[in-house]
Amino acid sequence: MTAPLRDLLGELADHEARISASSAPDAGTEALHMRTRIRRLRARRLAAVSVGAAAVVAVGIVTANAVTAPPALLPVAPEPSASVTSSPSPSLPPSPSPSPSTVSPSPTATPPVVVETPPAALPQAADVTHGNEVWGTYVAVVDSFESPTALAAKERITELGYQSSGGDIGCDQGAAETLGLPQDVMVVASYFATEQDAALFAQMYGPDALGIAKVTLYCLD
Amino acid sequence: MAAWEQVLEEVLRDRRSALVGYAALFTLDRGDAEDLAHDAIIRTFAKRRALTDVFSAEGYVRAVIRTMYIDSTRRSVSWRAKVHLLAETGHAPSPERATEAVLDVRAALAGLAPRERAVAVLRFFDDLTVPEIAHELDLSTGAVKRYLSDATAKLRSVLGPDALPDETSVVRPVTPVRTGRSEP
Repeated sequence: MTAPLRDLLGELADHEARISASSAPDAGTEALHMRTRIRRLRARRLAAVSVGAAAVVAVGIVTANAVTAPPALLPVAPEPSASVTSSPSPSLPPSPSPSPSTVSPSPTATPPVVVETPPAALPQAADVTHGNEVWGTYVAVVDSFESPTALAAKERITELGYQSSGGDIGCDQGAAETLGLPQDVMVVASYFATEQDAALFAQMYGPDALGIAKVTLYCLD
Repeated sequence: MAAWEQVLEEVLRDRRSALVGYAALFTLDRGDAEDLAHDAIIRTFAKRRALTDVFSAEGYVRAVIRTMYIDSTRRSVSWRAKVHLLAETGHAPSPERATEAVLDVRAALAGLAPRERAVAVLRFFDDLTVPEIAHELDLSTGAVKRYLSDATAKLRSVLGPDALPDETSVVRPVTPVRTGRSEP
């Protein structure tokens, strides 16, 4: 099933294990050293637990005393109660940004935006990190990230010099609503800093691009 | 000698190198792998649990290796940079003794971000499912699918399409599919 890559990983692990074995310290000596450290850690944990338990017991006793104290012991006179508050970057040299007038300004454009003039500058990829607000260009809805459609989409994005990303559309907050897709589909996308960049990339990608959307990235935690 | 001490000696005698090899899949650096395996063994045995045989102990240590590695990637971005640099530079083990395949897979893993690498190792080496990986690494299944998808694409570009399993086994169907939201 996963034989080739699994075998490769196994070979790498075995290779490292063999080298490690050839230079490993004496097991007895290492065990002695480790036992000392482990005993110390166990003792420290035990002490911490004991202190914690003692504190809990102490608080419990105080609380119980307060609750069960006979009324006669309570002060008769009223007193004030004390309150307890308790990416990959484009390879072309930088040039002026494309004119905003050449792209659709609508943030909810579902179909790919048609740019009338050739791009003057390459789109700038966005920082794909958890919680980041970016513009996504969505190029394919896929059944699997290894399906021919997904692979072709990823390859096309890579050819254009950008990083592809596959994931549940639900991981890109705002995408499903903007593109009019169900929340449970998987998509291939690439991310950009601005609407213009995303639209430009959609044009570069071609007519198969699904659209662009302003999204907040999740599932990268 | 206490029972756990006997198991510890057995682990060190019989499974230590295998654990270092496993840790090296994550760190890609043998020195770091030795440290990671060593610390994971200590952490495993420092907790009072019933470690009565070497196999269950090894399972615990492997789980701790994964957790410690992921925690280290959470702690700082600089660690990520460090791992990447280490993987790219002279820390590679005796190239003359490493097979071409080993060097290839090391290079492929070096191209992955730490979490992508962890997810790929758990999927393709430990043969865990997406939900199991999510549980192990304390990530959402959506995040795991995303990391796995990106890792697979990168591995394929370096190792070639034949090295990766067919599509049905990469991302096993999860029912329901929509599980990915992970609000901060």
